[in-house]
Amino acid sequence: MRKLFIFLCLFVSLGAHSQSDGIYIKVTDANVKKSLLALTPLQYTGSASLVSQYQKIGADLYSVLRNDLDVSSYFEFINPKAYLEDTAKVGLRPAPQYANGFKFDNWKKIGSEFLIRAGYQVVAGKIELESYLYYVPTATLVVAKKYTGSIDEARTIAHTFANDIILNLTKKPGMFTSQLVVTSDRAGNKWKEIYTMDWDGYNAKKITNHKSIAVSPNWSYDGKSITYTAFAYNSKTKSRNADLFLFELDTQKRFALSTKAGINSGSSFTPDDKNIYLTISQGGNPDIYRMDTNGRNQVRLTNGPAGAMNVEPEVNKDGDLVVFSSDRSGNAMIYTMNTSGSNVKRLTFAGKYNASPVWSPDGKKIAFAGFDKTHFDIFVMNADGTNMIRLTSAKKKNGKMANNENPSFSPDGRLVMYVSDRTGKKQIYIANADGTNERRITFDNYNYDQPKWSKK
Amino acid sequence: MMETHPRVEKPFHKEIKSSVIFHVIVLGAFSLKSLIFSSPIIDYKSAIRVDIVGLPDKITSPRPPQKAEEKAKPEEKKPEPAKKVEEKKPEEKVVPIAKEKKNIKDVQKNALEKLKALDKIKNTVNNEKSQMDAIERLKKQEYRGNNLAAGNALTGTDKFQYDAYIGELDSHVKGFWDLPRWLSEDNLKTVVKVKIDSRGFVIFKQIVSSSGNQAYDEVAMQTVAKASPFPVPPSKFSGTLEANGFNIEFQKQE
Repeated sequence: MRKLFIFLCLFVSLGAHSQSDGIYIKVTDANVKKSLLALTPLQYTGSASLVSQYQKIGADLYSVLRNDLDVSSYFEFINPKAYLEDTAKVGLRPAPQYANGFKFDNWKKIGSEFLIRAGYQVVAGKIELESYLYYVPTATLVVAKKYTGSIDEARTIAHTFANDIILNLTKKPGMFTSQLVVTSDRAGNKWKEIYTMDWDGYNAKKITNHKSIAVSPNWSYDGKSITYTAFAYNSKTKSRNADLFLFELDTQKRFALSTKAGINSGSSFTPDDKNIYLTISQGGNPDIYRMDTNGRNQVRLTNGPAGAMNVEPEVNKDGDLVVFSSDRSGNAMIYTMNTSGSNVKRLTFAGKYNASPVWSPDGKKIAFAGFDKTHFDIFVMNADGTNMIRLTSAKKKNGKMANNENPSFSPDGRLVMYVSDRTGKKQIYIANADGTNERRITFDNYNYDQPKWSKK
Repeated sequence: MMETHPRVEKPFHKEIKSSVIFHVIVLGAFSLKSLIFSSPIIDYKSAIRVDIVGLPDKITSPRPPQKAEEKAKPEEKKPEPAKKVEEKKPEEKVVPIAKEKKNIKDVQKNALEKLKALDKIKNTVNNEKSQMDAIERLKKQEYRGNNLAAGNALTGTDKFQYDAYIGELDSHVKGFWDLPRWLSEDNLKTVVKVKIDSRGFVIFKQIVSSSGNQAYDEVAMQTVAKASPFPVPPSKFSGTLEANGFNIEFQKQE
C-alpha cells in the first residue's frame, strides 16, 4: 500500500508540470503595397544590323509585358531615369558569374524588389525571347525562360512570359493569354456579329456572318467552342427565329443546337463541357432548360411561377448551383437553385432590375448588373447574397450617369469585364474585383455588348 | 463486543482499496493527458484573477534620499564653471599683469565657492523633493487597501496594464509590416519569437514557425527589426519579456 501511495504521488506530480505557454500576439493587418519593378528595355541579341528592322517587335513585346504586369496590380514601375547602370551596355545575367553582367547592387540601391532582363532576336521569321526575372533583395533568379514563335505571335509570347511571372510569384496562373467573345456592330449595316479578341482588345476576329443579329455569346470551358444566339434565317420554316448555335473554333463548323419557336438564348456551359444551360421561351414565357452539347435531352428546370420569366442561367464551378435572373417577385432579381430546379433562393432584394448574374471562377462571388434609379451599375456580392459592393460609377459627357452592364470574371477571378456607355458608345472595360484600377479595353466608335471572358 | 471489530474493519478496508484504485485511474489519466497532449496557449485576456486586500498601515517617517541622485549631479555641473568665469572678466578694469593673475585666482576661488554653495542649495532642495517623493511612494505602496499587491500572477490593475501593453505592441508592429501584394494573397503565416530588453530594444529574434515561403518569412523578420525599439514594457513585465520573450504571428486576415 505504501509503495502504491508513493508511486501514485510521483505519477501525479509528473503531470503537474507548468503548462508551456507564451505571450502571443497576432498581427493581422498589413500595409499591402505594390512591388517596385525595374522592367528594363529589351535588348536585341541578334545581328546588330537587324536592330532597326525588328524594333517594332521589341516595342510590342515590351508594351504588352508592361501592360500585363501593370494590370496585375502587383507591380509599380521604376522610372528608367533612376537606373544606375546603362542596361543597354550590360548583359542579361548578373556579375560576377557572367562577363559584363549587371550588378545587383545598382538595383538594390534604388530600392527595386524585382528586375526583369530580357533580350530578343528574329531568326528565319521566328522570334526568340530570352527572359529573366530576378528578386533583388536576395539577388536570386526567379524565372528564366526562352520563348519562340512566329512574328505575329509576338503579343502571345509576351503574354506567356507575364503569365509565367504571375504563376511563379503567386502560385496561381495569370490570365494574360485569355480571350473575350463579344457581340458588336463593327460589321456595319446595323448588323450584330460575334467577335473574339485577346483580353486586351487586340486581334479581333469575326466568327459569324449571319448578316443579322447575333447576341449573347459564351465560351466552353476548354475554349474550343462558342455558343451564341442569332436571328438566323431558317430555310425549313422560312422565317427567322432566335436560334442557339454552337461554333467550333478549330474546325470552323457551325451547329444549330436549339431552334424552338421563340427565344433560345443566354446559354452557359457546365464545367465538364457536357451540358448547356439556356433560356427557351417556346412561344410562352422564358424558362431555364438544360441540354447536352448536341442539343438533345432537354430538361426543363423552371416553370414561372405565374408566367414569370427565368433567364440568364449560369452553373457554378462545382456544377451544383445555378444562378439566374427572375421577375417572379415582381421585379427582376437574382436567384440560385439546384441543378434539379429545386431549392430556389432569392439573393437580391434591392434595386429595380437585377440581371446577367455570373459566378466568380472559385464559386465564392456573384457579379451582376443592377438598375439603380437611373442607370445600371455592376455589383459584386458573396454567393449567399451578403457583402455587396458596387464596382462601377461613371458619368457620361452630358453629366448623366452611365450604364455599366454584363459583367464577366477573368479566369483567375481577379478582374471583372463589362460594357459601359460613358463615351456615348458601348465600350469594353475591366476593373479589379474590388472596383479599383478600372481600364478601358476597346478604343473605337463601335458598340460592344455582352462580353464573356474565356475560362482560361 | 470484541467480535464485531473484525467485521467492521473488513468492508472498510475494501472501500479504501477501491477508492485508491479509482483515484489512481483518474489521476493517472489526467497525468497522461497533460504529458502527451500539448496544452493550449493561455489567452490571458479571458482570465479573471482575484486579490485579497489588507487594511492600510500607518505612514511613519520617510526614508533617506537615494544616493544615486547625488551621483548624477556633478556631471551636469561641469559646463557651468566655464560660464561663470567668462561673465566675470568683462567687469574687471585694466590691471597690471601680476595683479591680474592674483585677481584671476581669487575670481576662480570665488566662483568655485559660489558653485559649492549653489550645489548645497540644490542638494537640500533635492533632498526635500526626494523626501516628498518617498512619502508619495509610501502612500502608494505601503498604504495597503488603495492598490492591489502585484503578487505572482496578473491581478486587477496589473491585468489591465498587461492587456494595454499587448495592445500597444500589436499596433506598434502593425505600423511596420509592409507586405508586397504578391505575398499577401496566400494566407501565409509566420511566427517569430522576439525578446526585448527593458528599453524595448530587440535582443533576439528567430522564426519559430515558417510560412514555407522564404520571402514572406524575411518580411516578417525585417518587420521585427524595423519595429525596434518596441514600446517600453512596464517594469513588472520587462523581466519576462527579456528572458522568455514573446511570439508574434504574422498572418493577414481578409
